[in-house]
Formats: sequence, C-alpha cells, structure tokens
Amino acid sequence: MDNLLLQKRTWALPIRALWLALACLFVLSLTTAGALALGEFGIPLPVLLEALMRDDGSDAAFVIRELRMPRLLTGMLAGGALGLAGAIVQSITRNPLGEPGLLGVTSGAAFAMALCMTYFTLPTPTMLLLSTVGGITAALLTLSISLGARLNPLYLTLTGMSVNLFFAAAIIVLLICANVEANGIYYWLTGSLINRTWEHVHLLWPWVIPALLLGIIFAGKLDLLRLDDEVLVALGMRVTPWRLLFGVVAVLLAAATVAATGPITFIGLVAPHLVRFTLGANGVRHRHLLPLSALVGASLVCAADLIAKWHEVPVGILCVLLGGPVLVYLISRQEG
Amino acid sequence: MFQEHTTAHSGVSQRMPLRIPLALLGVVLALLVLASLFIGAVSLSPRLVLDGLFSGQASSLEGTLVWQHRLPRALLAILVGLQLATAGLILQAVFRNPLADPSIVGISSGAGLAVITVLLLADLATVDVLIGDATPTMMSWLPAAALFGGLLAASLVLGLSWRTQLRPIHLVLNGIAVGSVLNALVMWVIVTWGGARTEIALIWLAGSLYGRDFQHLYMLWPWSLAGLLGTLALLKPLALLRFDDSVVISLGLRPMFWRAAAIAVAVLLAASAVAVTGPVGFVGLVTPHLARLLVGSKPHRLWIGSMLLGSMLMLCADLIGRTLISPLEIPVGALTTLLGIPIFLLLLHRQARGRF
Repeated sequence: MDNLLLQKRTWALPIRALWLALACLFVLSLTTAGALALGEFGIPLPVLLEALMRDDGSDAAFVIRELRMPRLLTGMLAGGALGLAGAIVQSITRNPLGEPGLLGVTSGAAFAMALCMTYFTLPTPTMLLLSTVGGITAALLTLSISLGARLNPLYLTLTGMSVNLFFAAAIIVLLICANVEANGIYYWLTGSLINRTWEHVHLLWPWVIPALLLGIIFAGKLDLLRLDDEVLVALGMRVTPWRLLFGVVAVLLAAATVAATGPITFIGLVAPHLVRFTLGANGVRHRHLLPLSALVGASLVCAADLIAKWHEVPVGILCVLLGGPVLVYLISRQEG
Repeated sequence: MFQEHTTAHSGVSQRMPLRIPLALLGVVLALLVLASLFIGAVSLSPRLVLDGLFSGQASSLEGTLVWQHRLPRALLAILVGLQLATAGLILQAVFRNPLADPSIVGISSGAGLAVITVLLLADLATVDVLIGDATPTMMSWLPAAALFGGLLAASLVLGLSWRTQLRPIHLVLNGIAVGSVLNALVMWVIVTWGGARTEIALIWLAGSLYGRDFQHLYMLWPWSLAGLLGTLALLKPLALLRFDDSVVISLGLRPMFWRAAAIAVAVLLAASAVAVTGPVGFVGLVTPHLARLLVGSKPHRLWIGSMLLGSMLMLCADLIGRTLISPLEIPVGALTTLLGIPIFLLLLHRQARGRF
C-alpha cells in the first residue's frame, strides 16, 4: 500500500479489472433473466422480451414491469450502494473490517426507521432523512467510543457490534412499547426485497448514482487517504475535510439502503475484499475499486435475492450467512 | 478473574468479614422477591397477596395469581440469574478474559438455535411450550438440546480463536460473528416456519420470563443443581488456572482437563437457562465485575456474591420489564442488553487502554 505512489503503471491490473467487471455483468444478466422470468408465475423468454419492449397490458407485462422489475432494480441499487459504502469506509478508517453496518450505521438507521414507522406517519423523504440522522448518530457514537483505542480495527469493530446490539434491543423495546402489529416491521428488520415498488427505486438512485460518480471523480483522494496522516500533511493535503466528506457519503448510502430494503449487512464488507482478492491485494486503485465493489455488491445481492425468492428467505438473512464466515476469516488475519 | 487475591485495590478490603456485604445482598434479594410477589400488572392490595399466598393456589383468584404466576416467575428469575452469573464467572476465569459472557462466546445463540430447531422438528403446535401448554416429556428435552447447541457453538468459537491463543479480543469478536450467523439461522428457521406463532418465538428470542410457571421450574432445577455442584468442584482448580500451564502441572493439575471441564459446566449452566428464558445477555458479563467491587475476589466470596447479584439483576430487570408499561411487557433480555452494553463498552475501553 505504501508503494502506491511509486508503482509503475502497468496494464495487468486494468485487464484483470476488466475481466472481473465482465464476470459481474455476466452474473448480473443471468440473475436479471432469472429474477424476471422465474417465480410463482413463470414467463417464457420471448414473452419476457416482448413485455420488456412495450407495455401491452397483458398479465405478463404487469408482473414484469410492476412487480419483478422494481424488486430487481432495488436489489441492484442497494447492493451497489452497500459495496460502494463498504469500500469507502474501509479506506477512510484504514480498517479491513470496515463496513457501515459494522460501525452501527445500519442498526441506528433501522432504529430511526422503526421509530418513524411505529409512532408517526411521515412522507418517505422525511423518513429517509431521519434514518440518516439515526445512522450518523450511531456511527459517531461508535467512533467516539473507540477513539480511546486509536481506532484499532478490532476495537472499532467490537464497539460497532455492541452499538448494533444496543440498537437491536432498543428496537425490540420500541416495538413492544408501541404495541403495533409488529410482524411486518420484524420482517422488514430482517432485510428483504419482497414487494418493492418503483418508489423504492426512486428512493435509491438519486443517492447511489451521484455517490458513485463522486467516488470515481475523487478516487485519487481516496488513494491518498490510505497513506499515513503525517505523509499526507507533508504532501499538503487537508485530511479531515476529505475524510468527513467521504464518511458522510458512505453513511448516506447505507442509510438510504436501510430505508429501502431494511438492514442488509456484510455485503459492504465482502464486496471490496472480493475485488482486492481478485485484482491482487495492495495496488488496487480506487478508480477501479469503487465501481467494481459496487458491481460485485449488486451481483451478490441480486444472486442472494434469487436464492431467497426460491426458498422464501429474506435476503438479509442469506447475506449474513454468506458474510459471517468472511468476517471470521478477516478477524483471524488481524493482529490485536 | 481470580488474580487479585491479596492486592488491596480490588474493591472491599479483604479483612472485612464476608458476612456484611453478603448479608446486605441477601436482604436486597429478599426484598426484591417480595416486591415481585406484591407488584404486577394486576394490582392487588398487600393483604390480598398474603391471603393468596397462604390460601393455596386453587382457592381464589389472587391465589392463582400469586402461586401460578408471580412466585414461579420470581424463583425462575433467581435460578436463571445465578446460573448466568456463575457461567460468566467461570468463562472469565478460564479464558482469563474480562469480556467473556455466555451470550458473547456464542453459547446463547447456539442454544437458541437448538431449542428453536427442536421445536420445529418435534411439532409445530408445541411452540406453546414457550408459554407453558406443552407436554412435560417434550419440555424436559429442551435443556438437553440447548446444551448440545451451546457446546457446539462454544467449540466452534473456541476452535476459531485457538490459533491466537484465545486472545480476549479475538475470542469476543469471533463469538459475536458466530453468534450473528447463528441468529440469522434462527431467523431463517422462524421465517420458514412462519405463521401466527412468529411473534411468540421472537419474544422468546428476546429473552423473557413471560408466562413461565412451575413446569419450567421443574424442568430447570436438576440442571441448576448439577451445574452448581460442578462449580463447587471447580472453584479451586479455577483459581490455579490463572498461572502458566507449567506451574499448574507442577501443582499436580492437568490444565487442559480442568479447562474443558470448566467450559462444560459453564455451557451446562448457561444453556439450560437459555432453554427456559431464551437468550438473556450480559448478566454473566457484568455480575462478576460488580461482585468483585462489593465482596472482593476470593473465589468463594466472588462466586456467592456473583450469584446473589445475578439473581438480583434478573429479578430487578423482570420487575421493571413487566411493570413499566403494563399490561405490556418488555422482555428481560432486551433490558439486560440495554443496561449491559454501556458496561461492556466501559470494560472494553479500559482493556483497550491496557488497564486490566
């Protein structure tokens, strides 16, 4: 990582990145076809294409355009947002265990959402705003508590997990105090893509697309932020504002995802590591890392949702089952 | 854990008689038991409660209320509290880790998964076991299943942390990671199983004493007894296990044997408690530290103090949980988590600064 600035420009990396991107696109197109064609009501491919081209008012067109398409797109955007947010958090905290969820952002946002859903009836943008505030609060809580350990990755992760548990317990208390028909909210709390509409898609893309563009434009700054602070100051870079900016972007992405899909954890942790693993550890530049993480995240969530749809499992549960072992592996590689 | 035999900074001076702090704790515990008999969702005058208490269960409404609801619940809270506290004490001693707790090293999640799976395999209808309507034979299997699940999860977490010699922070992180995977599996089982009973299962998973009666008490006490006798046999070896293995061997003990035995006893205590109440976190984490402040760190004192404090904590949390927003109930587990996490973070903070 330290020789990043001295590294010679070679073509090996971009070519491997290209292969990874192609593989992701392949997975994405397969899952797209699967997500649109399979289900309670199977649709043959010619009919599918026909219905995608134009809305002819048939049942197939309705199922695809109004039910399956929004679910698929919500999954893609959520996965992309989580992958992107994970990559950013890992870079700005220099923490390989970083992920918005592991900083407590997800459960803080979920707590705020649950608060909105039980006690108030608010328009969606307000709810999104409030859940972002919840996410930021939880992240600040985690960061300020682990400042004592100089943001050591393991302590940071442990603090984030505790903040998560705290908010999870607070949500239970909240739901019981509110005495509402809690089944729906519990189901939302496991993270699921069932019954997502175009409204959810429109909730997500105005956050994800600009964040991705911003990330790509300022990828060089993120490359630099992985260096030691002293080096950066010597180079004349203003460290804190950039770190703050990227942190806010990551929290916004995570909070928007929670608002749209409920908490889906571990994707943000796994996706950047998968990219780094494929491209060969250290020399990955953010110009490649950010879009590829988003792509990998999107493919993972869509694939998981396809399996989830098959077995009637919320996608959030599957992601924990996939991501938990990866977390254990990463923990084992950390020095205390 | 047991490392501060003679040092003075371990809270109470060691010369102070054991009787005073323990008697105080005992009095508070007795007051809490009385409070949990007299206070509840249905408000009864003290006189009616006493009438009910002495007239037996079948004769009157207050008799039923006191005998079938409040008394068994208070007794269960005491048992579960002392079991969790003892399990936490043992785990912290074995791992030389001030952050160990049955819910943190994965025992509670493993036991929870096993209990939910048994309920699923046995019969969907017997989920009523959670609120006390099931057949006794079915229920008597639950602690055994929980024990199995808890042992499996604990050995998984230990195996994963073995390479780093069970370093406190690795152990705890692995425990939480494994726990979150196991909890996801539990949610999976519940969602697949689904239906109207989801909420009952979810409330059980939050850790609660709601609707528990004497049936549950009969189910639990043999396990508590076995676990406490085991702890009694363990107290001396545990105090020695803090030394290096070579020292332990030269003292005539087999370290690995005693470690394994201690972990088995801790799992037995914690898992059987989880089978009855669902996972109740952080009681085992907090009580040994509080007890050390109150009664010092001699093994027997510490153990008895931890048990009293664990029972008090459970009674207190249960009392708050069922009266604060009555007729609704806040599950005990949610309350202990809300109270326990700040303390956990404090301990973590101190450890990060090397103050242990």
